[in-house]
Parts: sequence; C-alpha cells; structure tokens
Amino acid sequence: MVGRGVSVAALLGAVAIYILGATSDPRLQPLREIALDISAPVTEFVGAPMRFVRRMAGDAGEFLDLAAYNKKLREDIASLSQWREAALRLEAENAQLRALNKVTLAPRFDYITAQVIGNSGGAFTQSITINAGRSQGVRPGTVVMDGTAAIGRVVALGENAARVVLVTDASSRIPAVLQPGDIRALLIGDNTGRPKLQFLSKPGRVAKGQRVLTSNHGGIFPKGLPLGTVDALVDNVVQVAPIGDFRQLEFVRLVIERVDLTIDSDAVLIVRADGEVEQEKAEPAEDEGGDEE
Amino acid sequence: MKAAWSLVWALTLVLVTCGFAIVLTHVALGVGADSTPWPRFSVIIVFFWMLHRPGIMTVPMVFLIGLAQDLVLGDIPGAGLLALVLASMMMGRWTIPLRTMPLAWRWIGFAGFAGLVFALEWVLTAAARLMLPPIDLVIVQAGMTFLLYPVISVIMRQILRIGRTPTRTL
Repeated sequence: MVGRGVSVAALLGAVAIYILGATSDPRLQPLREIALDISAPVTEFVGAPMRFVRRMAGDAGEFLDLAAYNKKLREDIASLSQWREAALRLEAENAQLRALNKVTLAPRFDYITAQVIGNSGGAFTQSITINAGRSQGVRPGTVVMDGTAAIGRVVALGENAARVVLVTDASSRIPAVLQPGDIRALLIGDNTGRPKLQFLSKPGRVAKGQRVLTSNHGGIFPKGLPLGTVDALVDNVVQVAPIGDFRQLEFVRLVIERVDLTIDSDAVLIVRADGEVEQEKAEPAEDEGGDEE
Repeated sequence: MKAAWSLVWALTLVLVTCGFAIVLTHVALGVGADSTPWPRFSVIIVFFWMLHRPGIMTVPMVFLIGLAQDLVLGDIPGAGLLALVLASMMMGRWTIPLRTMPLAWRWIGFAGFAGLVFALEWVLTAAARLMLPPIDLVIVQAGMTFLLYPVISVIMRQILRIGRTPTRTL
C-alpha cells in the first residue's frame, strides 16, 4: 500500500515537473545549473577517448581521399584569391571613408573559444554542452558561432559549462533579415536540419540563394551574423540551409558583448574593493517653494 | 550484515550504471539534426534493472533517473521523466514473467517498453512545443536503442556475476 502511494507520488511529481518544464518555469533553472556543473566534467572525461577515436577516423578518411581533397583545396584557393583582392580593395575604401568622416569604431565584442563536450544526442532536442560558463564570462543568451556562422545561443549556465540551443531546435526563434532585399523574418527551428522562415515582411520577394543574417530585433543577437541561405520554397514555406556544419562541431566561439558603463552626469562613481565600478545616482533635488498653498 | 552489504552493492551498481548510461548518451559524437541520433542507454539500463533488481528499480528510482536524464541531456524537463515513469508503471506487471524467460523474449519485452517510452516522449514533447517533432529521427533513435539491448544485457549480466562471485580465502 505504501509502495503504491510512493509510486503515485512519483507520478504526480513527474507530471508537475513536466508542466513546469513545458511552461519554461524559471524555478527549474537552479536544478539545470546543478546538473550542468556535475555532468560536464564527467562527460568531458568519458567523451575524451571517443572524440579521439572519431578524430582518428576522420583523419583516416581524409587521408584515403587525399587526391580529391587536394583538388578541392586548389579550387578553393583560386576562388579565395579573387575574394581576397576584393576584400583588400573594400578595406582600403572603408578606411578612406572613415578617415574622411573622422569615425573611430571601438570593438563591441569579445570572443571566447570553447569545446563541445556533449549533446542532446536525440530526436527531441537539438542542443550542445560546452566547457565554458559563468567563470569565463558567459551570460544567458550569449550567441555561439562555429567560426563563420551563428549556430545557437546559451540557455542554461553553470560555473564552467553551458547549454547551447542550436538554431535547428524546435524552441529556437531568431529575428533574421534576408539580403539582398532587406526582408525581415523570424527563423524558426523544427528539429530538422532545415529551419523555416516565418513572418516575412515582404513574402513575395524571397528567392532561393538569399543570405539569412541575424537582425538585432529583440536585442538578443548582434546584427549581421550569417545564419544560412534560403534553400527551398515549398508550399509558401521558406526553408533555410544553415551555414554551420553541425556534424563537425568540435570547437565553438562565443560572442560576448561588451557592457560599457555609461556615466550619468549627475551620478557619483563608487569604486568597490574588488575593482568593480558602480554609479549611484543623486536624489532629485526637492522643489523649493512653489507647491505651498 | 551480508544482506546489508548485498543491498549496498546492488544499489551502488544500479546508480553507477544508470549514471554512466546517461553520460554515454550525452557524449558528443556528431551534433545537430543531420547527424544520426545516439541510442538512449538509460532506457536499456532502466529496463534491465526492472527485470533483474525490481526491488531497487522501483518507480521512485525511475523518477530520479528520468529527472537526471532530462536535466543532463537538456530535453524538456519532465518529458523524458514522465514517459519513463508511465512506461515503467504500465510494464511493471509484465516484467515478472519476463525475468525467467530467455533473452529473445526479454528483447521482445524491451521492444514494447522502449516503444512506449519513445511514443510517450514524442507525444509529451509535441504537446509542450505545440509542434510535431520529426518522427523519422525518433524511429531511428528507438531502433538503435532496441538493437543495442542484447549487447548491453549480456555485458550487464557479466557485471552481475562479478557481484555474485563468492569470496575465496587465498
């Protein structure tokens, strides 16, 4: 009888956690953080030999395919040389224009490199675990890139590990812009390898091959990071082929936005013992007279 | 004293193997929707212990393992857990005759258990996200988990035998 009661209690507990999880209740966040902190070092340790074997198998495959690989590299070099020339010309032109306008651009972002140590490994979620967390300056919502393209954002944070939801996950929603054409849209993941574009500002002007970039609407993603290209238009559904190669994902780059301290002219700056600078705003001066009846 | 030691050993074995199964499911070997899903080792281990240590692999224990699995893998918290708890409650009665049957029958029993777990998780995930998860990936993952059962079962039975080996005086 007691055993049955405990089983029913466990079932009710599972239902309660499911409801909290389905509604993304923040009360589960501490549990997620603890699980990340405990599991990340174990996963890193257990996964090391498996990653080594995988790398060796990849190297062996490349070695067997050396001639074709070499040919492809030569073609890439020829193509990149043309791009290099164009980039140098544009860089010079850009510098000239900046000098004319006397513009000084301060770098807005810092980058951290982290290793992928785990993944959801399943059909229900598309997420990865990386070995950088709060101690390394990662914040919730930090954008994650595979080197060239945005591939996801941080959703859960531990001291030395973080969970990243990929752009292909069903819970992923990214404000995007299509170029050329400056078409605003929302990139929505659906657990397949081809996320969809919805809420297009100019649906009639979408074409295959257009570049999909992040827009900073909503303030989560910095503007202009490449996400993918328009791959197909099937029954008014716009499918996107992500640029990031998720199968080869071993290291990722985290884009840390610099938080600049804007100093209020009326504020008093306080430098604390740990070096942190904080500003305390002065109380507004009381209106002298005028209100008296 | 011997009974207490036996219980501690069995409990440790169950917890360690379940923890290892969750970590093994979490190890990164190809990421994203284009990669082949990785088998759910935790489903295999839970079913194995339901057959061989039913006194330890009770519903509250399934609850703990399911919760740990969801939190570590990053799934919707509660979806995998509720699927595991419901499947273990539904299959609980059926595991009694399966215990003494040959491996082939236990494998068939596992097919029912794994099928139930994946189907329930698919429904629960769809309900939570208001979107149907791709069924092909679920079938591949369930199929890989099903195919792996005999291998894991044989390995686990060997581990169980180590625990049963009588202490010899040297």
